[in-house]
Amino acid sequence: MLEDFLGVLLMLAVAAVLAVLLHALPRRFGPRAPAAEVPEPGAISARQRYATKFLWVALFFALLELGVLLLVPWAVLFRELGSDGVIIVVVFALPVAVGVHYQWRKGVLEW
Amino acid sequence: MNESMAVNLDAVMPLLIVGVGAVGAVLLESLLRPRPGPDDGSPRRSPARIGAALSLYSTAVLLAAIATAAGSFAEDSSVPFQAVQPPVVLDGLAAFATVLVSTVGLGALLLSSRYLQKLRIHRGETYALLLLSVAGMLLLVSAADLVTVFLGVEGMCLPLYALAGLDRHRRTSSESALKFQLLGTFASALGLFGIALLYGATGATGFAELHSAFPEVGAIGRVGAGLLCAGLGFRIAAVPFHAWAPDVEEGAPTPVAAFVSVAMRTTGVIVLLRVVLGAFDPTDLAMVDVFRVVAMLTLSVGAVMAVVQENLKRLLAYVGIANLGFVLLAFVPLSEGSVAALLFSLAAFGFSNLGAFGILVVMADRNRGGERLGDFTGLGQRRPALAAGFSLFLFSLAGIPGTAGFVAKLQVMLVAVRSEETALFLVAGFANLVLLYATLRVPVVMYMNPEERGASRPTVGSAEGLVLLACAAAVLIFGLLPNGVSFVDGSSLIEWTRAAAASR
Repeated sequence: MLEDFLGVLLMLAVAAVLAVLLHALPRRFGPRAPAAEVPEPGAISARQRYATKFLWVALFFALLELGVLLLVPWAVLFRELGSDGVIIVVVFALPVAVGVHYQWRKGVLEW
Repeated sequence: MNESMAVNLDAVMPLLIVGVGAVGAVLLESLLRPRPGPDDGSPRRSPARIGAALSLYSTAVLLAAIATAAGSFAEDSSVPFQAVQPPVVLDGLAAFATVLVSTVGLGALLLSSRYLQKLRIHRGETYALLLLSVAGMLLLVSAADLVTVFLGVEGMCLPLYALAGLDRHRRTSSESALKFQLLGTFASALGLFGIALLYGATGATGFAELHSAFPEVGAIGRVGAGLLCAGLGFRIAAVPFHAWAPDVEEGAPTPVAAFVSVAMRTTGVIVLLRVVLGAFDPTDLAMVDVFRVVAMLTLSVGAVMAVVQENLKRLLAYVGIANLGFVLLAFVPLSEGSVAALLFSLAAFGFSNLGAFGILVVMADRNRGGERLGDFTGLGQRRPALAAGFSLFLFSLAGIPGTAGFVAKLQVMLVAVRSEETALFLVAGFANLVLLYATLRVPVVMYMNPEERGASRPTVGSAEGLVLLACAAAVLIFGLLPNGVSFVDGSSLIEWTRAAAASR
C-alpha cells in the first residue's frame, strides 16, 4: 500500500527541497539590497490593466495543454490501446487542431 | 476493446451532426475570414457575405439534425449508447426534445443575421457558438447519467455566456454576460455538489441505478437531490432562482435572448423531468410539496412582476417565468399524462415566445430602440401585419382561446384538477388573470393610442418573415386544430407528445 505512493512521496520531497533551496540560496548569496526600481512580482496593484493579447496567449497555451493532457496518458498506454487509441486521439486532436487554426487565422500569433 | 464498451453511434447521431457542424463552423469562419496584416491585394470578402455563407451552413446542419431526430422518433425505439449503464439514450422523449430545441435554435439563427448587421455586431463566431450551445442541449435532453447532465449543462451554457456579451461595447450587454456567467457558475457548483452528494449516498451516477437506490437514499442523498434540482431550477429560471433572467434577457442581443428564454428553458425542463422521473421518485411526498410551492411562486411572481415592466424584453422574460409556472404544474405529481401536457405546453409557449421575440428583433434599430412599450405606440396603423402578429403571440402567451397557449394551459390545468390540487389550480387561474392584464397592455398601446409623428417604420427581412410566419402558423394550428393537422408520420402534435411521454 505505502510503497505504491513512494514515487509520489519522493516527488513531494524533491519539490519541497527545491522550493526551500530556491528561496534560501538567493538570500544567502544574492545582493543584500535589491535595486529599488525592480518591484517584487505580485507587489503591483491588482487593478492594473493588461493587454488582451496576454489572454489570447493564455488561451492558446490552455488549448495546447489540453492536448498534452490526453496525449501523455495515450503515450503511456500506447501498446495496450492499439488502433482504438489512435482513433480516439485523432477524434480528440482534430477539434484541437481546428482551434489552433482558428487562433492562428485570428492573428493571435502576431505580436 | 471488449464487448461492453461497444458503442452505438445512432444514439448520438443528432448530437454528432450538430457538434461536428459547430467545429466545422469554426473552421469555415476562420478560412473565410480575410487574413490579418497588410492587404495582399486578394479580393476581400465582406462580413455580410461571410455571415450569409455561415448562416446557410448552420441552417443545413440544424435541418440535418432535425431530420435525423424525426426519423429516429418515427422508428419508435429507444437507442442506448452502450448496453451497460449508458450515459446517453435516444428515446422518444429525447427525439421530441431534439426536434423542438433544434427548431428553436434554427429560428434564433434565422433571426440573427439581419439583426446583428443592423447593430454592427455581426461576427462569424456567433454561428459556431449557437451550434455549440445546441449541441450541449442535445446532449442534455438525451442524458441518462448525472455526469452527462453536468457536461451538457456546461456545453449549453458556456457559449451562451459569450453570446449574451456579443454587443460588448454596450454596458447592458456586458452586464448581461457577466451576470449570466457568475450566476450560471454558481448554479453549476450547486448542481455539481448535489451530484457529488448523490454519488456519495448511492455510489451511482446512472439514472437507472439511482432510481433503484433512491427509496433508501437517506438525508445526504435527499440534500443532494435538492441541490441538483436547485441547480437546474436556475437554468429554467424558476422562482426563487429567477433573478438573472430579466437582466440577462434585457441586455443580451434579442435573438440570443429568445434562444436563452426558449431553448435553454425547454432543455432545462426536459432534464428536470428526466432526473425526477428517471433517477428520483416522482411520487415522493416531499418532492411533490417542493414542486407545488415552486410552481405557485413561479406563477405568481412572474405574473405580478410582468405588470410593471416598461421594457418589452423584460416583460417577455417575466411572462416566460409565469408560463414556466404553468409547465411546472405538470410536476405535481409527474405522470405519463402530465408529461404529455408538459411537452405540449413547452412547444406551444416556445413558438409563441420565439415569435414575440422575433417581433422585437424586427423592431430593433441601431441605437437599440424598439424595446420600450412607447416604441409600439400606433404600430397598428404603421405596420398592421407586425402589430397583428405581436398581438397573436401575446394572446397565446396569455392563454386566450384559439391560440396554442390556451390549449397548453387547458391541458396543464386539467392535470392539476385531476390530481386534486385545488390551491394550485386557483393560484394558476388568478396568475393567468394578472398575466392577461400584463400582456394586453401592449395591444392597447399598439391599436388604441394615436400614432406618433416621425415614428420608425421597420421593415421585415425575408428570414425574419419566414420565422414569424412559421411561429404564427404554429400558434394558430396548435391552437385551433391541436388534433387535426398531421406531421411527418401522420400524427398531430398531441399524439406526438403522448407517444414521447409513453416511450421513455
